[in-house]
Amino acid sequence: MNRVIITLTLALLLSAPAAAQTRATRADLPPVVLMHFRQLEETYRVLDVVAPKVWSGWTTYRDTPFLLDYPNGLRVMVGHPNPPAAEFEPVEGVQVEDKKVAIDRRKLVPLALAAPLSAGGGPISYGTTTDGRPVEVVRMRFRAGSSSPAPAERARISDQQILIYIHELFHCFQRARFAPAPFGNLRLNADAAYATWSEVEGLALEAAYAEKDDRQARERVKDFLVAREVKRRSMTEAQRGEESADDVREGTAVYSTVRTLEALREGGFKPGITAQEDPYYGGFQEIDALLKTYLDNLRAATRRVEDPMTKCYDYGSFQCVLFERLFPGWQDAVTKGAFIDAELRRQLPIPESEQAEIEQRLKDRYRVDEIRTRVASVLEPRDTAWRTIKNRRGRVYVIDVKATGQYIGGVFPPKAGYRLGVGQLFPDGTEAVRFDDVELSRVTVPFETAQLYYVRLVDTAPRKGDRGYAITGQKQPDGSYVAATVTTPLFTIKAPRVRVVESPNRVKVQVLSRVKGG
Amino acid sequence: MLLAPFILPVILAVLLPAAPPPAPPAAVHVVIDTERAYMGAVQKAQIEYWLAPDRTWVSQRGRVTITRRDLGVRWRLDPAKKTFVEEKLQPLPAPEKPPAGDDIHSARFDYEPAFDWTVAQSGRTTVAGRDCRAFTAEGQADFGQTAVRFAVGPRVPLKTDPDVNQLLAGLAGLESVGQFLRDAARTRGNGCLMSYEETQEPAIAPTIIQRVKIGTLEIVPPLAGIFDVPDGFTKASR
Repeated sequence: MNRVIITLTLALLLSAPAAAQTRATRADLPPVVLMHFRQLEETYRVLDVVAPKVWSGWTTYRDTPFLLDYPNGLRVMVGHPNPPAAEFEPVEGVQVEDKKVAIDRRKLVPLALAAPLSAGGGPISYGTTTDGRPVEVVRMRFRAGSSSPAPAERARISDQQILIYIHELFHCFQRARFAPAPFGNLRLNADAAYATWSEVEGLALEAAYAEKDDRQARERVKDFLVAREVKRRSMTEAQRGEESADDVREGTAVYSTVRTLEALREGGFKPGITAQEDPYYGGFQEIDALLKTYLDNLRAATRRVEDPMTKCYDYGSFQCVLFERLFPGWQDAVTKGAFIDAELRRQLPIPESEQAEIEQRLKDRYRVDEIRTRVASVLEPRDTAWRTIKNRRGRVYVIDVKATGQYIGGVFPPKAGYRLGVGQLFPDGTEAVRFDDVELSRVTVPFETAQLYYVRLVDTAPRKGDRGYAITGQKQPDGSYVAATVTTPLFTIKAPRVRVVESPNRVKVQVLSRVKGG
Repeated sequence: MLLAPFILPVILAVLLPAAPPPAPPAAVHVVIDTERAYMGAVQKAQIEYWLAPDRTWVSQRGRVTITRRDLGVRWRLDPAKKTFVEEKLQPLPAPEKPPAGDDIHSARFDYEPAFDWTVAQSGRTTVAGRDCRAFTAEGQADFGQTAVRFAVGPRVPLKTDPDVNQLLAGLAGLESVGQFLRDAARTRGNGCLMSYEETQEPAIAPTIIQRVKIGTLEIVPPLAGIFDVPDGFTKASR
């Protein structure tokens, strides 16, 4: 789950050892990392109070190790029974509750862990137990944030971080206790029909949530169910299943944090972190403000046109919230493998005659024509951009920043491109951008980003016999260049260290470091 | 003394050893060791095959599968429970046709790298007692790259389906790498792919190292009854 959380602490720069034979100490951990440890401990204390109220049987939240990845290359393992010895060294005298800590600093670069940091993550398999069984960990990737938080939000930064940890730990609970869903994640680019009716779904969910009268709320839920059915007429069976499965996976995980806040409001929790330890922790005193973010997220998801999968977080969680209000006791069926939307439909059967009636009323009630016009204004240029970019032929240039760990989509200005699959389309090129010590010049031709770490451009009129690029910098024995500038007909890129790999008809510029000295 | 004509065969039968029964057709016996290093974990496995032109026996992780193409059946054995499941061999369904043109609904999600390969011979090596030619290969795709070291030994003279090269190449993480390895062996005198080590830098995921090596390769008469359900096993429903 990618939710922006900001922490403020200037990190100590770590001195990288040549190998991982030594034992690290507390002094090797930047203050921001120690603050994250206190947040993990607070997460467990919160769950001690709320977990039985979140989902029956949830008691295993202390069992899953955490792997914290920082943008300077530091990796911190908390509570792993057998941290891979080739990667991690134990840290003496530092624990999270009774959990041991180990760090991997083989790829450390001299980058200050300056605020803001944002965190996203999820459960993955990492390493094994001593007898060879795979170990599931919650991996959190911290990255430099792109904006400063508003003053009111600063006081809730760590509260939000704790909710993210709870979300991810709930995913681990799902994996252990929920019947496995026979569908993967939704992988679908919206078309106009999908986007239109998906927006109606969101509006209906919000209206149901706002409705004071339960009978009226049920009617709005019916609106949601019928809008979903109309939307799904253009989807395959697999896509329908993927969407419902993601509603369960992400919706119940978000719902677990909503229930956490509701349970905390009932009392019984005493914050365990002091202001000295974490000045950005509000101790869950502002429950209403925190709860309001969920409604804000639903509204944002409702109007989001291009990205169906991320809607499952908010649509799924509001289906849970409404289920809890209108038909308590629904969790058992979902635990056993039922989809939330299918269970809602079972509780609210809609005869065929009523279905047609509702479908008709949706058009006026939610101004479907206006929605259709608006989403078309987004999707038509996206489709044009896609056709333009995929039909470009010529010499291919690829900028590969995987070695830096930087998601390339986050480098370009928001809303500058169109999202498609796991990439973005930039039909009008881009202004110059940078991250850390990496600078990409202005680009005037259409291009795309792809697979999280790559920029792909095509020179449709390459000069015959021309190598296609020039490079300056200090050449290294391994063929890479330090303090490099790569100049091509389409762009110039400057980076602390690069390697250029030539293939027939392709020039790949691999950015190997994002900071000088890295 | 004249011996009655019927005595001679009797004497010969006593004095001469019994004529051996016809030897069963030879089969390829191959044992493959695999190792996969990914995300801090190393997973090792051993797979054993008996390959004949119309039947296959494979043992992996305590399970045995016998495929009898001559009978049109496959038996999946659970040696621990002494049970087996029988299924009819079905012709493989035709691969699903991709949507006409590019489909906007699925565009830019899936990515299968199409590598440009550079191959070089790197000397000789011995694998499972066989003298092999060693090679290095580097594959570059738009998003992702891979480096492969592989060894090609003498051709396996017995034709089977699947053959040894298909088995080894099928253990590669990517279909395109498996295809490259099959082609590499085929274009080198239809040699036998004996081992490879692939260090793959996928588009998104962390580095994957995959090692595959033949430990035993022999063409011998198969063990008696190996292509049949062993005595004492009972049929279970699926």
